[in-house]
Amino acid sequence: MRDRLRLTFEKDKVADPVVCQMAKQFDVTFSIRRANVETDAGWMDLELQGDDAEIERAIEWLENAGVLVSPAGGDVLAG
Amino acid sequence: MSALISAPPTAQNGGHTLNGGAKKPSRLKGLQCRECGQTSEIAPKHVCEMCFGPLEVQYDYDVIASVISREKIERGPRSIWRYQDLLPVEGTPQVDLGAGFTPLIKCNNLAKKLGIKSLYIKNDTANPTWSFKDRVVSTALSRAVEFGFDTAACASTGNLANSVSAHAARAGMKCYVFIPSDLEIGKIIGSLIYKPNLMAVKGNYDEVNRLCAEVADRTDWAFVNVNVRPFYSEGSKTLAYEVAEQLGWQAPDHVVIPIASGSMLTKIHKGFNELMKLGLIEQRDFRVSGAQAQGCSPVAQAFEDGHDFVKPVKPSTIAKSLAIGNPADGIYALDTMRSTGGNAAMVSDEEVVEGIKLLAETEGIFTETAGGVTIGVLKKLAESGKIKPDETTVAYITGIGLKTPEAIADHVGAPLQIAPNLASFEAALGRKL
Ligand SMILES: Cc1ncc(COP(=O)(O)O)c(C=O)c1O
Ligand SMILES: [Zn+2]
Repeated sequence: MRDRLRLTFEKDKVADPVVCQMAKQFDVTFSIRRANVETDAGWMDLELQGDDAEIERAIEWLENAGVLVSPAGGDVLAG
Repeated sequence: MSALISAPPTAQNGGHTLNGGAKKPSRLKGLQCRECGQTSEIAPKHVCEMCFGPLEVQYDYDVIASVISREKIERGPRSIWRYQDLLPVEGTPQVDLGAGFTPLIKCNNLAKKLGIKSLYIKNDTANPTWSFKDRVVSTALSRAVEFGFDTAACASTGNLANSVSAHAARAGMKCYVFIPSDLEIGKIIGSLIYKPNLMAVKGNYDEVNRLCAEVADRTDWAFVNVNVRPFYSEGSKTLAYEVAEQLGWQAPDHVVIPIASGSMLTKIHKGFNELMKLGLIEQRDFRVSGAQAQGCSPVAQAFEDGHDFVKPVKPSTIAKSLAIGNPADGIYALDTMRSTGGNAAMVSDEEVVEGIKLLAETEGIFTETAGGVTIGVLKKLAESGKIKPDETTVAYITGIGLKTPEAIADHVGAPLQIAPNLASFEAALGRKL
């Protein structure tokens, strides 16, 4: 399974090495495709690979760490 | 020129020509990533494999310039297909209910109320399923048939669901439509009547999104706003072409456009620019402003905060057709508004209701909540001087009020109940006849 995600960081999280920590704690690999991190906020598009359950856990961990996780490329749901 | 919509020609009688027959140079060059510029062949895909950026159809404007003219357009069908030279469909459009060519109405009453001089409403409620989505769906599914798809699909808060269901029925395609389970009844019936496979997903919008992304990944369906999104979104350019033609082949000074994913806004901007590039209208500056509801305003908020990225939000507004929390084209909409000197603004749900009523009472047009957002924002921008009084302004009204009566049911009063006799009527009237 692979999941393409956008991580959005608030000001207080910009400097945290959360993605590295995630990769250490869970059996997932990641590749960063695009990112824009400024001093007061930022985002990062990445692809996570691993099995479904492990990716779920990694996402949950990121959310608990205060990172906003959403699908890269925006919502599939339309008006 | 005729409003007659014929059945699409079959492959046997020569209608289904994919680049076929005559060796005309193609108007379509391929797909290009908006972020890294990587190009690829025309195919049903929407994201760049390198950087996940969105793919966009690339045209050869020299080829288009050699075949297009105002006169040719004016001789064409009274639908979006009069602009086919600028759309990513190669053969005779296969999926057509006559979308487009909706009225552009000069609105002096509303203009006067708002203190501006020259206001037009593009009344896109006058479409086959009563929203602008018919433009993008007719484009997406016509292309999907050319790709060989036999199944249409989408995930929608209503208007797109209605349009995909109707166009799939017309085209004889199988159809799968996913909606959140809390939709307005008008939008549910407006899909069911065309007999799609309609799935009401019991979950929040995040969960609906996640499920539908997985389904889109695992099926070979034409998911109109996913794998065929580059073709789908091009359909919105016709909202610019028509306005230019209806204004006597010129661009307005200012356009006000509702934002959900941000696709329509960016494509209307692109549409006017293409006409200028092709010499079909005079080169001029025009401003693009965007409208969102406070309960889902990631793009307007980013505009206000001066950010150059859009932070996703959890939607909570009566304007469900604009309740897209993580807009795919949000940053491009933001860029467009900034680079044209436009604005973004948001309105409360109360102002949405006021906007719906104001448009109906002054101009006789009954719009849904998305139109209430647009009129609310138009009013805000006019009152704060952000629309200059002498700018020729066009506001896009993109969906009909009859789909969302719940939103205004408690705000329009009630009929006077009278007995079936003159005395009772006279009592209600307050005078003798
Ligand atoms: C009535 C109406 N207006 C406007 C929009 C905005 O569309 P977009 O996603 O292109 O911004 C939608 C749907 O998304 C809609 O249903
Ligand atoms: Zn790219």
